[in-house]
Amino acid sequence: MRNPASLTDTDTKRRLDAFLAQVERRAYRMALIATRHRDDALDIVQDAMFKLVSSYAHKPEAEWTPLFYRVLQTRIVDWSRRRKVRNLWQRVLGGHDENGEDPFALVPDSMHATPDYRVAKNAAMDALERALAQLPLRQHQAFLLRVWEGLDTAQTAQAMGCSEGSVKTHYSRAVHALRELLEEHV
Amino acid sequence: MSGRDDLDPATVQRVRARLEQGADQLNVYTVQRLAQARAAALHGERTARRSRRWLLPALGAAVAAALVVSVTLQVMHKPDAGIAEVANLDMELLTSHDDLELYQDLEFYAWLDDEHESS
Repeated sequence: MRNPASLTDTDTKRRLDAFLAQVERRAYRMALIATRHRDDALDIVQDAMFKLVSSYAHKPEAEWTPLFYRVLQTRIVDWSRRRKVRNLWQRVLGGHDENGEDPFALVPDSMHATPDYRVAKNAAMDALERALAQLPLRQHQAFLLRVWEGLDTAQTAQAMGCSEGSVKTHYSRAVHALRELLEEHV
Repeated sequence: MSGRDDLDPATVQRVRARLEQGADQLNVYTVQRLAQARAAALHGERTARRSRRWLLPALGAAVAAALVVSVTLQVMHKPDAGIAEVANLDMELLTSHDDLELYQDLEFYAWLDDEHESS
């Protein structure tokens, strides 16, 4: 693994900083929709940032987006698997479910939002995110990468680590499911 | 919406706008955490992560299970007391020459005893 400390190329560092600043909020929201837990989502984004800088900084800048999302989606899938094991243990032990939904996770910032603004604008957004959270993980990954991040099928396949055919299937199923879930909103 | 398998461009724009809205409304704490994570990644560091307290009960249960298995195995493999006594008796017989002859002639001594009582 390349040592990020050896990134002596100031220009590369500056471009990486700009790239990460550009994608970090969307990446966080994607992780949050999947995990519904703020700290887990932040951990996942942090891991993805670290991995991009430490392993892929030397790659052409055009490849950073699919590579970053590849790492991010892999971390989300890993998180999902760990959660299943964790929930199994906690069910067996009857312990506290620390992985429950973070009550503060989906609270929007109130800095710019008046109550009227929230009511008018957030209802559709909340409905969309709730609907996305109901989709199987791979479907909502395909949907967000295609629609939100604007990746094409090949780039989405690279980011998800699957074939283009699988991306088309996941995306199509996501569209069908969302169409039913969001009939009145979309 | 247009085709059954895809969204029309206008719908895509609306969906994208709503998702962007969520990203734009992140609270200050989250924005700061993201900036810290970005700076740390660029400097090759990992910022502090959440504790893994959920592992404690799992580890406790694993240790308890290991103890139960260990004790159970020890009990199951403990030599049977009756077998041990017989084994000890056999060893005594084999190591004592006089006693062995006595046991071999036990029927004779029993007959001699009966004869003595009947006479």
